[in-house]
Amino acid sequence: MNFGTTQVIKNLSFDVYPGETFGLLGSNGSGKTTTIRALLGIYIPAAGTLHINGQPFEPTQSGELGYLPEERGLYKKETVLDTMVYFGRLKGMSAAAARTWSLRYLAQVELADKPKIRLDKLSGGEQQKVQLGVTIMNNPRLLILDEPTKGFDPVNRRLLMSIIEERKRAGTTIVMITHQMDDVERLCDRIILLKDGVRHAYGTVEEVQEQYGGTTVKIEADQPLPTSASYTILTDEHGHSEIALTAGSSASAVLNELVNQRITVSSFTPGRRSLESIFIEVYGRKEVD
Amino acid sequence: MARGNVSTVVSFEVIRTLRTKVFWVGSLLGPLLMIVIMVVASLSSASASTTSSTVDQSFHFEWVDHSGIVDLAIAEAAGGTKIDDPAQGVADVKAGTTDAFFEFPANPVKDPVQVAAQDRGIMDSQTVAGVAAQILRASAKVQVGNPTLIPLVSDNINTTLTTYKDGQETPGIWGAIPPLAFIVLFFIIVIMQGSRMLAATLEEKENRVTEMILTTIKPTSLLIGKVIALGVIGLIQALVMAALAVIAAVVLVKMGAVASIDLSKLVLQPVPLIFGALILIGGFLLFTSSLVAIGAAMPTVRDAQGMYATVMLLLVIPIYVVMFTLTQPSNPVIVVCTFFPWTSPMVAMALNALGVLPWWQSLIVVIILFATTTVVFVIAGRLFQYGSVEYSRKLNIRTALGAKAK
Repeated sequence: MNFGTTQVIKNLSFDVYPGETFGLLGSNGSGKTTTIRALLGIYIPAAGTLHINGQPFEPTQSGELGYLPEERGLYKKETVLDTMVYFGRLKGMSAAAARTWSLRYLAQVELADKPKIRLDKLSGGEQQKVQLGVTIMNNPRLLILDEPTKGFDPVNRRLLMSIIEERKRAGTTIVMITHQMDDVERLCDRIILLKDGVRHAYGTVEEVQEQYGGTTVKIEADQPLPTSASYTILTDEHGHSEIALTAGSSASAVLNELVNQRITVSSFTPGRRSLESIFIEVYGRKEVD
Repeated sequence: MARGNVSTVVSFEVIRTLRTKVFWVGSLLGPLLMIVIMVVASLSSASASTTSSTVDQSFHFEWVDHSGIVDLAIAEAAGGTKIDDPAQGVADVKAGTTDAFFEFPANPVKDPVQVAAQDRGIMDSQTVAGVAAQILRASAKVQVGNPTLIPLVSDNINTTLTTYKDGQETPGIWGAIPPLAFIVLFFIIVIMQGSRMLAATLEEKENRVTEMILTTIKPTSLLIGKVIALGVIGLIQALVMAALAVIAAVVLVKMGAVASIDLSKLVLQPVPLIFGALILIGGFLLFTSSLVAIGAAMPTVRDAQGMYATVMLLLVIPIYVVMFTLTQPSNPVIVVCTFFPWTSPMVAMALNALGVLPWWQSLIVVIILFATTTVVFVIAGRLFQYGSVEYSRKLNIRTALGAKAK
C-alpha cells in the first residue's frame, strides 16, 4: 500500500480463521487503519486483496461484513430508525426486517425511546451505539471493529464489550483494532503487531507472549528492583514491577536473589508476560505515550 | 444486489429531500413571489390608469405652436389653452396658475417640444411630457386626412408571417415554444439543484459516513443512485413549479392582467423535441457529475464554493450567448458555445428550438455531452473513492487519478 511514493504497508499478509477473534495491534501511525481500509477497497492497494472464504471481497458482499470505522459518523439530520433501516437495506435486509431488528437493538442499548430522534440530537455515546447497531445489524460473518470502545464511558464500554462478546459466542469472526490490551487478552484468540507497516509479531496471544519473554513475574517490593542477569525489568513504578525471566533462570532463584539483597517482597506472582508490557517494549514508551 | 442498492439509495435520497422544509420553501417561494409580483403589477397598472384619467380631467396646460400642426380642438379637449407668449407660459407654471406649458417647435421632427411643468415627481412629470407628444401625434394624424392612412402612421400595423423550409410550411414561433421549455426546465433544475448536487457527496464526507457506506455499495453505484435521485427531485420540483405557474396563469388571465394564449396553436415537432430532451438529460448529467466530482475532491462545502461558482458561471454565461442566437446563429462565439460541453446545453437547446441547428449537429452535441459526462463520472467516482476518507484536506487529484483502478 503506497501513499504517493511512500510505502506505508509492506508485504503484509495474515489469516483470520472462521469464528476467531483477531487483534490488529500497533501504535498510532503503525498502519492498522490503513491496512483495514486497503483490505476493504476504500484505499486502492498497490497489490493484494481481501479474500473472504477464498473469494475476493466486493462491497456487494456486504451481507457478510460489518465494519465499524475509526472515523465515526452517520447522517446527522436523519432519524435513528431511518438511518438504521437505510443501512439495513444496503446490506440486503428487507425494510421490515431492518426495522424490526433496529427497534429490538435500540431497546437492548437503552435507546428504545429514541428511534424517531434525529441523530444530531443524540449524545456522542448514543450515536456510537447506533453506529455499532448499523455495523452488526445484518448478522455479519465477519466483523471489523476499528477502536470500538473509543469515546465510550466505562458503563457504555462494558455494554459494548458485552455485545461484542455476544457476537463472538454466536460464532462471528471478529477483527478488532484496539489499544485496550486487557480487552485483547480477554477476547482475542490471535493477534498481529504492526510497526511501520511491517508485521512485528503474529500468532496466538500465548505464542506472542512466549516470543517476548515467556514467563514473567509481577512483584510488589519496598524499593526499586536492582538490575540482574536473571531477569529483565519490564516495568517498575511505585513498588509495582514486572520482570521477564532470562533463559536458564527460574522464579524461585529470582525470589532468593531479591531476599538475599534484603528487599522486602510483599507479593510475588509468576505468570505470562502482559501484552501491555510487550506493546511498550515493541513501540517504546515515548512512541506509545 | 447492486441494482437493488441503487434503488435503495434513490428512494432514501428522494424521500429525505422531500421531507425537508428547505425543498418545499425553495420550490414554492420562487413561483409564489413571481405571482405576487405579477398581481401587484397588475393592480398597480389598474390603479395607475385610474389615477391617469383623474389627472387628465383636472389637468390644465398652456401651449404655443410654431409648427402649425397642433389641432386646436384636440389641445382644448386635453385641457389646453392656447397663448402667444412662451415667456408667459413659463411664468404661469412658476406662479402655479397652470400645470404645464408646451412650446411646440417649428419643426417637431427635428427639434424637441419644450415642456415646463409643476414638479410631480419623476414618474408623473414624465407623464406630462407624454401628454405633449400625444397631442402632437393625434394632431398629425388629423392632418393626414385620409382615415385609411391614419393606422399606417401609427405604430400598430398587423402582419401575418408564413415561413417555408424545403417547400414545406414551418410552424414558426409556435413550433419553437415546446422545445424552448427544455431550456427553462434545465435552468431551473440545475440552479435549484446545484447546491444539492455539490452536497451529495460532501455531506457524507463531512459526516464521516463514506467509509462505512463504501463497504456496502460500490462508489459508482452510490453515485449513480445519487444522480438519479437528484434528477427525480429536480423533476418533482419542476412539476411543482409548473403547476403553480399554470394556476397563476389561469388566475392572471381571469383577472385580465395578462393576455390569454391559445395553446392549440402550439406545434409539437418530434425531432427538435427528441433532441431537446436528449440535450436536457445530457446537460443535467454533465453538471451533476461535475459538481459531484468537485464535492468528492474537496473536504468541506466552504472549500468547494470556488469551483462551484465556476461551474455555475458556465451555466449563466450562455444566457447572454443565447440572446445572440436569435440574430447571429453563425457567430463563432455561438459555434464554440454550442459544442463546448458545459455551455452546450443552453445554447444548443436554444438553436435546436429555433430550428437553426441541423439534426446532425444536434446529434454531435448529444454525443459530446454524453461522452464528456461518462469521462467526468468516472473521474468523479475515482475522486469519491479516494476522497472519501480525506476528511480534513483537499484530495491530491494527481494521486487519485494516477492510481491503478481496482
